[in-house]
Amino acid sequence: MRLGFLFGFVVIMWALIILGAFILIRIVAPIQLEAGDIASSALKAAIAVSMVVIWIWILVALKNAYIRRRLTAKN
Amino acid sequence: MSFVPAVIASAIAFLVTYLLTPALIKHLNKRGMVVKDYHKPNDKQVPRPGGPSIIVAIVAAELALFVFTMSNGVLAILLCTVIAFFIGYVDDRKVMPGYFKPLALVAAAIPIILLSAYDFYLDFPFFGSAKIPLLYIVLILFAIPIMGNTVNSIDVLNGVVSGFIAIASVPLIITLLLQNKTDIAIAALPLLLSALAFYKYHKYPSMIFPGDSGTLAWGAMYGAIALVGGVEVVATIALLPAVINSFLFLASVKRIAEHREVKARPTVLLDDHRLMASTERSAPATLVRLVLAHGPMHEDEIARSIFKLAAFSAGMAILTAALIGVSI
Repeated sequence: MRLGFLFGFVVIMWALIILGAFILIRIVAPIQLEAGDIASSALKAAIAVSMVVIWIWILVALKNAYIRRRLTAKN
Repeated sequence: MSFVPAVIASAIAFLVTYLLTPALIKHLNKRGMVVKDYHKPNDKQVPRPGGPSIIVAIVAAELALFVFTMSNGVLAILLCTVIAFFIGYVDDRKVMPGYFKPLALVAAAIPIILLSAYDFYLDFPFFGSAKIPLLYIVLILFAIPIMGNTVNSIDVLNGVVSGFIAIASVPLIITLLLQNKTDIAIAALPLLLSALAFYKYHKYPSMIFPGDSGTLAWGAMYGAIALVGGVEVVATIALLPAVINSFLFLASVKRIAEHREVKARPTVLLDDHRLMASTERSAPATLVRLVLAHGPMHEDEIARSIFKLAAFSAGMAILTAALIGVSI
């Protein structure tokens, strides 16, 4: 199927958005450190940024694997 | 009560774009404001920008709606769209560096903040809302440039950006109606109808290109509707094919750059005028290159493939909107 990979890519991005919402709302948001609000917020922000980096890494890996398999392998 | 403003705003947006664009095509041709259509034989020249007919239609429709509603939200959407149009128009007339559009579009986000036309909540399916009072203002300042440039980046082939915006605006309107945000749903109608009317002239083979003034106005308006209507997540999902295109490009070139600044082309034009994906390792990954991964296609076939992807994402966005009320 010509568009199979791209349909799959859309579904994976959708799933990552939902999974990200679950992690941030249900797990990260309730975190409260004894060190105070600023420390808690810093930790939450660090987790959120790390998540974005991991999500991007997953998507780049998928994209590279597909391009290697379908395009540059022919070269 | 909202039926009359909806009909008036829709009729103005559609008719003004539909009737004004042919005159604009003539005017641009007469003044020599044309650019090469790179995917056509014989150095075909196409008038650009079509943004002025789009913005006149949107401004007329939104002003009429503002008279009916006196809504801050409608005014914020209107001002954001107009500022984005002027930023795009500068880029249409003068070649600007790659950072100009993302940076300048921050100004288009200001009316939404100054008019307080937003709330602080991000609604997600299954897990409820996230309240982010301070962070939301930062989100607005980032969202308008990102949405504007994302829509701008999908202006890749004849008819694609106008058709794409028409498809992506449908889940936005449905979600706003489901959430009883009728004023903002009506404010989104001119986005859909100006894109539909412009598509008549922009579809393959294009008689006019929207230019950055047209695409940035549509993109910023789309973002403003998402923020003012509080349907950010749904809007992002409907926009995923364009997001993927931007993401692929940025992940390949690893910097903010205009397509013209990248030397290796993602596609190759064949003698029979079909497009083929480049097999060069240094060529940037783009949505079109991935669509072409299975073999060469004609330009209009690629556009139809992108529309199928847009329709799929629009379906996912509507599903997401339906699931927002569901909690687990």
